[in-house]
This record gives sequence, structure tokens and C-alpha cells, in this order.
Amino acid sequence: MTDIDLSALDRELKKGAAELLLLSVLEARPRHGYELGKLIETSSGGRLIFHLDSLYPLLYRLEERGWIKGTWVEKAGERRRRFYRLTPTGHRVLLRQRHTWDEFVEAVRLVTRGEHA
Amino acid sequence: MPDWRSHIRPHLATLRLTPTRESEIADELAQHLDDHWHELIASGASEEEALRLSLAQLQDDTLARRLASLKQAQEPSPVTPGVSTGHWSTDLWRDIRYALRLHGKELGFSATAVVIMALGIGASTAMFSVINAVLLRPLPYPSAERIVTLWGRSKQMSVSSVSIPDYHDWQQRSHSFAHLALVRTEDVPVSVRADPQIAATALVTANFFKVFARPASIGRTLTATDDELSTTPAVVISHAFWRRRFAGDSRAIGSAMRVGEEPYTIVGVMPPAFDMPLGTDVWLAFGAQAGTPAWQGRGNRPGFMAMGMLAPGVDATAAQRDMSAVATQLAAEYSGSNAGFDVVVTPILDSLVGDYRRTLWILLASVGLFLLIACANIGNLLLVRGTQRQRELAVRTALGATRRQILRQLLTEMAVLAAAGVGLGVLLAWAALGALSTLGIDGPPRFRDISINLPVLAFAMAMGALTSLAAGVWPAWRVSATEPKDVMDSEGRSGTSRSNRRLQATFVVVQVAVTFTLVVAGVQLLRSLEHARTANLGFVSERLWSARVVLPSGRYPGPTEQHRITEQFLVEVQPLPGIEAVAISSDPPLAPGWQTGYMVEGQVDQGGENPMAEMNRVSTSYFRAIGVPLIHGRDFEPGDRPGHLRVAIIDQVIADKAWPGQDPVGKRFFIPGPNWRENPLTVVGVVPTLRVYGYGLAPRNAQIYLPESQSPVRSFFVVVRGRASGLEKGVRETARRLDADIVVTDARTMRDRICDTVTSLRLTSTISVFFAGLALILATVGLHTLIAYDVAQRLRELGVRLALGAEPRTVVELVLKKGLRLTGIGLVAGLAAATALTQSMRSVIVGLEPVDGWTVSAALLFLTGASVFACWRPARRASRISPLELLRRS
Repeated sequence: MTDIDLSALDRELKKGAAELLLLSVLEARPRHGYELGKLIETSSGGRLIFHLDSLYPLLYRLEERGWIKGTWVEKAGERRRRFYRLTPTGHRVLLRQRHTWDEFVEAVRLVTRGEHA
Repeated sequence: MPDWRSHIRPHLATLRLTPTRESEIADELAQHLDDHWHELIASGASEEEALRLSLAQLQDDTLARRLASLKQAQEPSPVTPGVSTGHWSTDLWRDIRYALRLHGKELGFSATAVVIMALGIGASTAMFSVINAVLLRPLPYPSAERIVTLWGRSKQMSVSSVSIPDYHDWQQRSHSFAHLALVRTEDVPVSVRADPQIAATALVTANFFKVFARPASIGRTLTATDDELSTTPAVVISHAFWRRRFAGDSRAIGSAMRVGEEPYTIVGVMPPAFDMPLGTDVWLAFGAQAGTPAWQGRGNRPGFMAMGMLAPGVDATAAQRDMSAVATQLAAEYSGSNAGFDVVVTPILDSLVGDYRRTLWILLASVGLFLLIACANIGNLLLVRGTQRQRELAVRTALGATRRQILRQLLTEMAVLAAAGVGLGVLLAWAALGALSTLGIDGPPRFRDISINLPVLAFAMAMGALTSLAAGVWPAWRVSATEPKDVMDSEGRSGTSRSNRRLQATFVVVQVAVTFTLVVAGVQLLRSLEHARTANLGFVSERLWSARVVLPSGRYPGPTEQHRITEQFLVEVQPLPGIEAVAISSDPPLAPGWQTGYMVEGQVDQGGENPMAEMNRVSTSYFRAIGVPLIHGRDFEPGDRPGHLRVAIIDQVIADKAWPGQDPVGKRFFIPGPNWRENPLTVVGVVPTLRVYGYGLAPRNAQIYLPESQSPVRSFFVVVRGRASGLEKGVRETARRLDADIVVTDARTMRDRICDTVTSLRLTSTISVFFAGLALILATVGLHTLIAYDVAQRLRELGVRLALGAEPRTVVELVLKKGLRLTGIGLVAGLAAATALTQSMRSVIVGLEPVDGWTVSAALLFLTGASVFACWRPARRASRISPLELLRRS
């Protein structure tokens, strides 16, 4: 098993979870902000809720990093909406973060469910 | 549906977002809240409750805090230019930063302005660096402003050399000099370890070195004892000569050197900067040749001049008065030799630089004109841009900027442009000087020492400041006068005020006028140069080549030996391949030197008042070789030998003057000198007068030819007609075969020698044509800018005309007519200026001809062509406006 750097783990825990969530739901197709929040909420059975004041700052940050890209889309009879899609960099980051997360969950499982006797 | 934006904006207000980004975020968040609200309504909530729940997401400052750390929320705070912060350095820095940002955004405009300014500043800086090096920089001698040269002058000769007895009297009777030295320059073969090469020598009295107050860098200079006769007289050598011939070996001091045939001892090496008379390799002690018999006597003036250091407190004018008084005394005491002789005292820099002084100032003036064009061009650009910026300036005024503050901002923008222009201009000047030096033009003295130094940089900066003031202040003043209300009123109607348009037109007229002046001058100079190259000088200069030949004096001491070796030399050179004719001449065209008085038989000897003639000793085939036909009588013949009748050939001027209406052949005249009464010369032939000084300079004197066989020479020119390639090699080899000590030097074609006489013409024409070309380009750009802008302003009007059925051709004509009208006004103004400029140039530049119709027509053609070219594109554009497109735009 790969060693996990504990300080990195701590950082990942605080910020990475939210980033991972957003990147994951964008993997399948581009989505707009409200749809993203909604999808995370329903997929998590109402356990994970993104409010407006945390969702958008995070989206803009990911966009500044070049992991996602927002594009305005106009449809007849509707107001324009900003759709976000994963960039190739974002895709690579997602794979890496997913792997780190899996390692983490596995590590936590080993510790919390393992035999300590 | 609630107005979400009004709830969102307060949360974004504290962030430094760009307006566009702020509105995007507001849109996106509004959409989010809207979706949420609809969802709540759909799930049964009342509108009021849905609103409350939605807005709950915006309750505190979390959103602002989280957004604040984003890069997009940290845009630099917008500057409101022109509004003072109350602190001048902060204001200045802010103005500069704003100007830089502005120029960065309008790169096309800024780059054009900088390039135009750099051209103007570069040109004037390059020219100034020449003037600085040649005219302004002091000579590298202590009290150089007190050093003067002294020449004689008589009615017949504007410049005459000095006799040794006169020099001694000058020393004793004048009161103006701390030191007065005698100098005679001559190029003679100098042998270092039996390797004779021609060197520039100066025979000088010992106090010559006191005049220049420079000690030797190695060894010593000459002392008073060196003025006395000595068996191994002393020489001082130049630094360059020492490096060249002794490889910088300090053992050169004390070693022997032969000058001509005479042994000398080297006593000193001068420092590198010591170069007087210019180009001197070797300074010979006066004592070595003081006793030369032909130099004694007051009537003999064998090429000496005097150089003096003025006594403290005496200026050149006072010295001139003093010396004229001395000359008057001498003329009274020795009327036979000195009647009519005066002395000319000239500050040394003036005598070095001579005519170049005015030539260079004229060039600087024409460069100044070029700079004026650049200024007008930039002024025009600034006005055009200023008009486009009127709205921006109006907004600033509305925000509280005063006119003074706006003016300051506009001038700062100009200063930033000027700084870039100066930088690029200095680089251009540096490149131009490099190019000029590769052109191989032998410019004025010290021309080779040109460099970009501190004074030149200061000049460039001053020019930059001047340009920005000249080009920037007026447009800035005009533009800053914008009233916000007027601009807002003219919303949708882009427009330039009538007075601004008039100012733009003036700028264009000035450019055209000045360009026309420069083009006329350039064309005129080029034509004059072409004339000078091809002018009829009285002989056929094509395929004519000459080289100087110096016989070693020891082996050929007398006329018999000299004539024998000369004859043999000619016989051996004649059969060389490619040679059609060969002859020798002591003073051929473009290298005349020996002048003397002559006296027609039966007339009274008038001493210094005798008429003067250019003397030339030539071999039998000389006239055939240089292509001069005999007008009358016969050529020299092999039978004209020593002991036979002494013969001469004269030119038409003497024939007409001495024996008007008579046949000169058989008439006799005398050349005053030792035993002259026993040696009359008999005229055997008459030839045309040749322009021996080249084009533009009339012969100063009449011309007399003597046969070399009756008066042989030790130093002469071999003149050859034939194919130039291989000539020099053949002649040199022939000379070496005859005697390894014969020196052949200064080998050139006659064309080259002719070109040298018009150096200042070449220099000025090269530079002027270059500037005229640049000016033409700038003026074309200027006119194009104006017309293109004008068309852009009048699009609506022109479009309406087209829509109403005007022919596109009519619109083209309309635009062209405007451009050509401005050009026409400029041309009329330019014609007067061009005439004045070339007139003043004519007084300075030898060979420049008066402006004629041909030149003016050529310049007119150039400028009209250029202005049609400049207007063509805007005119075409105007004729192709589609009314539909216009409607869409408005």
C-alpha cells in the first residue's frame, strides 16, 4: 500500500472533498451551477448540500486553475446559463484526486474496522 | 419574479472585479436564485416564503469573503486620469503608468508615432554628432583656440606660401605671437631598413612643438639646435608611424632613417593624439634643409606656411591687424618680391575645417527641416487620436479633472512617446553613422572620430523635448478644450471641430512644403554630382589613370640622369598590355601644384605683380595621352633637348592675354628665377585651357607646359590611357625592374580624382537624398492619415451622395481633389523655400548648379505622385461605401 502523507491528507480532507465532488459530477457532461448543486444533493441522498456562497466561489477557483471551463449558452426564450465542463487538466486532476481519496478511504477503513486486539 | 441582481450586487461591491466580470457573476447567481425560487414555488411554497428561503443563501458576507481571494476579484483599481491626488510625484507616476497602459492598448498609433519621432531625432542626432566631432570638439592641444595658421595672399593668389626671409621678419616685427613656427609638408620616400615608402613629412622649425605645447611620449621633440645645419639631423615620428614601421619598438629612438636620400636620427615619438599638420608621419628638423639654395631669397615661396600660438590676450583679429601692418612694411621695403603681398591669419580649426563648416550647418538645417516634417506628422496623428478620445476626456472632465490636469496627462503621454522616440532615435543614429562610414566618403577632417557621446546624447534628449513640445502642445491644448456637454451632444455624430480640421490641414501643408524643398535640393545635388562626374574638363577623363613616381635623388642627382631614367621608364611601360598611350607630367589635372609668375618679352618685371601661371612639365606624348588637341603650332618633339631652343606650349588664355590678335607661336617669355634673362622660352604651340582643379572650379591661372626633356623632374605622375585593370601592377613592376628604390604611389583613375574634388557635393547629396526619401515617405504617411481620417468622418455624407446616385468616380475625385489641393498649397510654399535653400547651398557647395525647371518638374512629379498614392486608398474606400452598411453602423 502507498504511504499517505498525513499533512497532505489533512489538506485534501478540508478542500479536496468539495473539489472532488464538483469534478466528479462534471465528468459525464457539462452542467450549470444550479444543476451541479442539485445533482450532488440528490446523489448524496440529501446529505451533501452546496449553498450558493460556497458553490460559486469554488467553481470560479477551479476555473482560474484551468481545471474547468465555463461557457455561456443561450437558448431561445430562456435566460443565458453558464455551463461548466472538465478541461483535459481537470480530467487528470480528477483521476489523481479520486485515487488519493480511494487510498484514504481504504486507510481509514483499515484503521477503524481492523482488528486491534 | 424578484429582481435578484439588486440583492446580489451589494455582495460584489467590495470586490475589485472588472465591470464585465461583475455583471457575469451577477447574472449567474441571479439564475441560480431564480431556479431555486421556482423550485420552491413548485413544491408549494408561497412566493413570499420562496423569496425568503432563496435570499437566505445571501445572508452574511460569506460570499464576498470567499470570492475575495480569487484573482479575478483583484483587478488594479481603475485610474481616473487627470484627477489630482494632491501630490505631484504620485500624480506624475500615475500619469506615466496610465500613459504606458494607454500606449500599450493603442500599439499601432504609438508605434507609428515613436518610429516617426525616432527617424527625426535619429537623423538630427546623427548629423549633430558629425558637427560635434568636426566643428565643436576642441582640438587636443592646450589653448587650441589660440593656435593660428598664417598664409600669404596676393592679387593673383588667394593662398600663397611664405618665404624664409619673410618668416624671419614676421618673427622679429610682429607682437602677437608667443611662438611662430615655419612648416613645409611634402610626401617623400622614407626608408626604414632600406624599405622606401612614401611618408607624409613636415619640415618644421623647433618651436613648432611649442606652438602645440605637446611633449614627445618617448624621447624628445626638436630643440633650437635642430634648426642649425647638421650632418645627421633629427626627426620626430608620429605614434602611428612608429607602430607601423617600428612595430612600437622603443629602440626606434636613436636609430637611423633615410628621408629621400638623407640620413636622419629619430629622437622622439609623439603621442597618438598629436596630428598636425593632419596626417603627418615624420617631423623633420628645419636645419636639415634650411640651406637649400632654391629656397633662399624673398621671392621664393617654396610651400612654407607658418603656424603660431597667439600671445595671451591677443585674438586672431588683433593678430591679423598686426600681421597686415608687417606685410605692408615688407611690401614697401622689398617691392620687387613683396609688393601686393598680405598675410592671412586664420584660427587653426577654421583652416582645418574650411568650407565644411557651412556645408555641415546646411546639412543640419536640412535635417532640421526633416525633423519639422516629423513633428507635423506626429502633431497630425495626435490631433486625429485626440479627436477620437474626446469622449474619454469629456468623461474625465465630468469626473472632476481640470483642463490643466488633462493637459498634463496628454503631455505626459507625449513625453512617454518622446522617451521611446529618443531611445530608438539614438540607436538609429548609431546605425546611420556606421553606414555612413562604410560608404567610404572622405569627409571633412576629424570625420572618422565621430561617436555618440555625452553632448550628442544631450542633444538627442533636447530634440526629443523640442519635438514633443512642437508636436504635442498645440494638439493637447486643442483637445483639452473639449467641453463634456458638446461631446455628449454630438453622440452618434463623430466629428472634428472646424479649427482642428484646419490645424490638421496646416500640418499636411507644412509637410508637403518642406518635403518639396528637400526633394528639390536632393534632386539638384544628385544632378550636380552627375554633372561633376561627367563634365568636360577639357581633357578626356575616361580610361585615364595616373600614379605618382618618385626617383631616388642619390642615384639621379642631375637633369641628365633624371631624364634618362624617365625616358627609359616610358619606353618600358609603353608596350604593357592594355596601354594606348603613356606620358609623364609633373602637375597633371586634379593634382596641380606648381604656380609661378611669368613675364612676356618686352614687358617690365613687376615682381609679385607678374601674372601667374600653372606650370606643368610633360613628356612628348602627354597631350595625346590625356586627349587634348593642339589648337595651333606643334607638340613637343624628341628634338627638344637641353642645349637646343628652350620651348614651351601655352594655353589659349595666355595667348589671348599676352599677344592679342597675334600668332603666339615664335613669341618669347620668361620665368623669373636665377639667370632668367639668359633663358627665354619660345612658344611652339597653343592648347585649350584645362579645368585642372576639377568641375566647378575655374582654373585659377593660365597654363604653361615645358618639355620634361629640357627641365626634368624627380617626382612626377605617370599618366596612362588604357584599361585600368592590371595597369598598376605592370607600372609598379616596371619601376621595380628599373630601380628598386623608385617609389610608385597614389595610383588612381582620373574619375576617382575628379570625384575627390566634389567630396562635399557627394557627402551632401548622399545625405540629402536619403533625407528627401524619408521625408517623402513621412509626408505620404501624413497625407494618408489625414485623408483616411477625413473620409472616415465623412462616410455618412459620401454614402448619402452615392445613395442619391452619385457615380463612385465622382466620390474618388472628391477625395483626391481635397488631397491634391493641400498638396498644391504645400508645393507653392515649398517652391519659394527650395529656391532659397539651394541658393544658399550654392555659395557653399562647389559644383552645385542653380535650380532649373527640370529639377522642379521632377520634384513636382514625385510629390504629386506620392499624394495621389496617399489619397488613393481612402478615395477607393469612400467610393465603395454601401448605404446599407452605413445604416447598420449608425
